[in-house]
Amino acid sequence: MSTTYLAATNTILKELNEVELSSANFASAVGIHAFAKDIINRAYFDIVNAEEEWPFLIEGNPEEPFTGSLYIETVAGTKFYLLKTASADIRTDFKSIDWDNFYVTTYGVAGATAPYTNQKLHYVTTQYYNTMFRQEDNNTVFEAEGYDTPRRVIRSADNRYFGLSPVPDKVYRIYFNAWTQPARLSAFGDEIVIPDSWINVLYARARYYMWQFKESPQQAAFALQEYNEGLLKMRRSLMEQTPDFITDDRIRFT
Amino acid sequence: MPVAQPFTVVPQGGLDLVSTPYELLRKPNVAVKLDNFEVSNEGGYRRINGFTAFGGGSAIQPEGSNQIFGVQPYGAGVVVCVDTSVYYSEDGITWTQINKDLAGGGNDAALAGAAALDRPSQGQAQFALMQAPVGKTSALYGTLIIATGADQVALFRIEGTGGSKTWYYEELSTPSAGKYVEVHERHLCIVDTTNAPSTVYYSAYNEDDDFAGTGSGSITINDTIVGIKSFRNDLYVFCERSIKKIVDISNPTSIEVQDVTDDLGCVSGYTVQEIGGDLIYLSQDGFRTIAGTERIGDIELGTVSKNIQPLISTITNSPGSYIFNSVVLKGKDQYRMYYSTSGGSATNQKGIIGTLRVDPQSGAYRFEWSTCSGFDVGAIGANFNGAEKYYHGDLSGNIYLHDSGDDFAGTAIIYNYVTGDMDFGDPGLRKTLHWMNLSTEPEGSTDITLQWKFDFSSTGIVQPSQTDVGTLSYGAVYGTAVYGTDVYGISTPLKRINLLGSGTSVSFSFTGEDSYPPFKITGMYITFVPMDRR
Repeated sequence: MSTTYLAATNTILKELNEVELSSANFASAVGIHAFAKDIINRAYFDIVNAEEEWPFLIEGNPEEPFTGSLYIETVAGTKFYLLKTASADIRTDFKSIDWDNFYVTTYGVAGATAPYTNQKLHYVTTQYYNTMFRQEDNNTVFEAEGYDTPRRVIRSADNRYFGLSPVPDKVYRIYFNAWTQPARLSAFGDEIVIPDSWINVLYARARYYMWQFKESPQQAAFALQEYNEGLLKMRRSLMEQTPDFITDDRIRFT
Repeated sequence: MPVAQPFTVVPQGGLDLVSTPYELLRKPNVAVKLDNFEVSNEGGYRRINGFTAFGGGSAIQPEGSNQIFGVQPYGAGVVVCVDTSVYYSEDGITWTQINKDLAGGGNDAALAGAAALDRPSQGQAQFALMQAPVGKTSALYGTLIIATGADQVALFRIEGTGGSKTWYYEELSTPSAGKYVEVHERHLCIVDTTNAPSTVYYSAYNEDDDFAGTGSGSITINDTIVGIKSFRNDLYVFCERSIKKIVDISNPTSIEVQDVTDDLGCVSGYTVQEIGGDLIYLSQDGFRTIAGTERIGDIELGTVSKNIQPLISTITNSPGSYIFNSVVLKGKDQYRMYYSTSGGSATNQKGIIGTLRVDPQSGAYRFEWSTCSGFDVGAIGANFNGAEKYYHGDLSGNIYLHDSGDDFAGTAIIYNYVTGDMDFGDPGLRKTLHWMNLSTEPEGSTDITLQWKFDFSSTGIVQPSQTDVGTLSYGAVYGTAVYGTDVYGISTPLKRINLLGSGTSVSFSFTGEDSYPPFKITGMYITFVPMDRR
């Protein structure tokens, strides 16, 4: 079971010898208790935003045999697709997308039979896309015979959609990985998605804010150091190691 | 890095109901509630004793559940006025009616067979003791003078002891009634408020029944008398709007009435007591002392109860609502005034306790106040001499040993001591509390609850929940201690209590409702960490 908002807040209050909150008075807390609630959220988002791809924030589950945790089925002739289905605006969109791991397949599509289409979609920048492929894709709007199996993926200007090039000619499944943006903690029972084994990092960060509030810079510095060390350990433990190779994606040299 | 700092509170000063919350920040020693506590003349605040039934578990009411009008230790027992009768008992179990036609005296059988002299108009009683008046010098205990209002003043005495007692009871024909009585310079002084409410009658020298002979007389004062009290060489006459004194009562040529003050009076003669070489009484503006009134006049500075003035005002605004009684507990340097309401529940009956203590700053004596509740006092009496004995009777016909036992005759005592908010020297700085060393002197087991509240008990913040103080060590008491179990010689044990929470100011309250022995809170050592100014 994950740590709840109430439990995390009370941990900080207890550390500082403050009166703990209860489920009954949690919502109406004021003063230092309201501040304790606030800094739990601040610390929470500090950790969440410290990395794009925390594994505990991954959306969906890996779909065998593909590495993507999510898929969207294309519609013939449609170029752009909303990354997060039914998301109203950017505030509820995914936190992060792994643009380098989009994958297209016909496997699993209703009516599709072997041999299936299976290939990685190459991410191209908007600038590169506009220069090299936009005109060709735009022509398909008027000439439907230009539709084809997508080979590239681009992102929309507002970051909310992915686009396919060429424009799909039929139904495909597009697999990709996305990381969710956790909601701000609000109710006493809201659960913190950070694994319990790393919750102390959150406490260190919250303590840092609390000691600042209490005008104790030395204690705040200790807490900050503890937070930084904890975050580093989190990265080492939870994130993938250094990539095998590094690519240079610069396209112009002067 | 914040460093824990200490703060010490020594409970003294008593109840303070007049200081503003900000003034109280600088007065951590006083209390804003101090109910069923008394300021100890040895320091600290002590939970009061209770009272126990006179007669213990076999106690019998003198005459049903009628209100007790008067109770007075006399001889080896207690005299009680109730309904239309007067009773005497030495054990609280067997009551002997003594308002009998027995002027010539008689033994137990004669007393039992004598005709009763009913006192149909009895009200609140007042007693006086006259030792060895003329013709009655063989009475070991003296003559007890009983005044109950519109009835004739009664004289009661016992000669002899045990089974060979001779009982005497008679009623004076002159004056024809008496409400206030006092013995002053061996004159029996009586005020008959029914027929002559402004007149003080005084007997012939050393006579308890001669108001016509040489040396007797009367003096009329231009105000309505509410009480009289002998103090040193003068008889003080407390009136509704003034206070006088009669000087030279034994000298017909120089006897005169002198003004003490013409601008304020006394609320009730039953509040007048002698303590600390002075007379204290309840005036319209608070408790005053005669010495202070004579010296300062009628200005408010003359009151000795400024710290509880709001409480006094609620009483003096409607004095007719209360039955006033007072007593001095000499061993405690303590003045107690009870103000009961007829028909009120026992738990809501109130009293005020004033302890005479030395002001640590000035070195002068001053009263430090507290309150009590649960004392349903219809009458109270202390013995005039010998070992201290205090009795009170309630409005339901019961007689109790006052200031005795650990509860109110079987009902738990509800006590409450609340400090004012204390800021530890800086009202703008948040302080996080860590722990308290509570210095106490328990007289047995205790069950004290501690609660502390921040920022003037703000309801907008989360306040700590109350906590049990826990077991306090106390020394063994000879007669009840068990060898090998109880501990000998413990004094002033410190009890460490963990605190939590933070605020700019904090107040502490010690409360409970139990039948455990009293305890004294003598100090608090509080550790806190200064924090922010947000």
